[in-house]
Amino acid sequence: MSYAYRSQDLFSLLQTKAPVTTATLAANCRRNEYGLLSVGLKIHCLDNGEKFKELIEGLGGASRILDVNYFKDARASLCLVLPPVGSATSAVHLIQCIEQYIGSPVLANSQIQLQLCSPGRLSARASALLGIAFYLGSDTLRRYTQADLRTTFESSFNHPRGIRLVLYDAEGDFDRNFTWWNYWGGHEPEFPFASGRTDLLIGPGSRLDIENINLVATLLVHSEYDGYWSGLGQEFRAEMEVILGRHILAGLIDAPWVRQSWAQFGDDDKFFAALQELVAYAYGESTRVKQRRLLQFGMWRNGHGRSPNGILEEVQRLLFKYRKAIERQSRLVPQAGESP
Amino acid sequence: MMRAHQPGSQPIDVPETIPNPAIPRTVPNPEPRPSEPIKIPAPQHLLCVSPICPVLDEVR
Repeated sequence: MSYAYRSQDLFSLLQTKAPVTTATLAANCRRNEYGLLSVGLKIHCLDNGEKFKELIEGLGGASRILDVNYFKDARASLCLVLPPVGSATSAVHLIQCIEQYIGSPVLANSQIQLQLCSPGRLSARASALLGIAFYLGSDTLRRYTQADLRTTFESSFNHPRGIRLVLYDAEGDFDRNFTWWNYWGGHEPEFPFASGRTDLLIGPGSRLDIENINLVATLLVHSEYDGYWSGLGQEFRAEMEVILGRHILAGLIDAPWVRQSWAQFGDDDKFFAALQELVAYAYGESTRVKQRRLLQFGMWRNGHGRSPNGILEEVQRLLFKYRKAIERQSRLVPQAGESP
Repeated sequence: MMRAHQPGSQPIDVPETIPNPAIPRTVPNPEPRPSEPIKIPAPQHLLCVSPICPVLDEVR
């Protein structure tokens, strides 16, 4: 991921229209929260991108900022790569600053497709869990067409990425200088891997999407790279697989959610069939949850109330449980500068 | 909207996005965004309370 400008130049520009939020962002942009991973963002703009014109000109112009990146959503007029920040909170602040600068929403905007980049390449199985947890944990359930997931690197000769929700990086710059909590809770100044990302094309995203993906990516990456949250990450994977198994969706994990180098002909379609199965189940579950609530209202009035137990609520509870566990256990880790 | 149609049944329109019913809609944002400063207009002379304000002499 390369961005041909300095973070300071972006902040100076944003400060002219969003002074308070930018000051908060600039002061904390590399700060780590609870040992979670850093967050990278790409903004794919599906309309003519007029709103971003002033921002792009201020950063050096389209030829310098945009044309250096060949990767973008196949339908997008532009793809703006933002500098990585230390936490999901800073990522949300960065988006809020841009929203104030361009005078238009970036989150929950159907004309803007967000790509969330997490450091560390996940295995195929963990990539599947990341994609599924994002989808079921989002505040919006989406239907997809394959056109929503096509990028300019779909059939690239060197870095083919296929038509997927989860994408690996295509090399380029990698900022590894973010705090990494090692297995024993020590704060390393950089990631244990020199390159590699796992990205999600989240479409019109929300604050919750960013927070959830950051949480799940941290658990999965730590489980595969022996980080401090490795144990919790293993538990999360096991619980997620139990939930999917209970809903007869365990087979979805075996679908090719990310394009590996050994990809086979037809894998794009296999993945899309799995995604459609997940979407259909979630839409059906949404209807069932509403019906159950109506039914329970009557049962509750008769004193027989019972919580509905659909997969959407189970995933929410799971994400909540692990978020709280991380917040609680992170207090046991000596912070940088403190004696153990 | 997407149109779903099976042979022998009426086509139905399916929304492209729906809210996740498991997410409570009433929970406020836990971290409010920092608010930008509000520009307050300069005080009018007639409202000035300074005892040395020359405009107040005219009023007095």
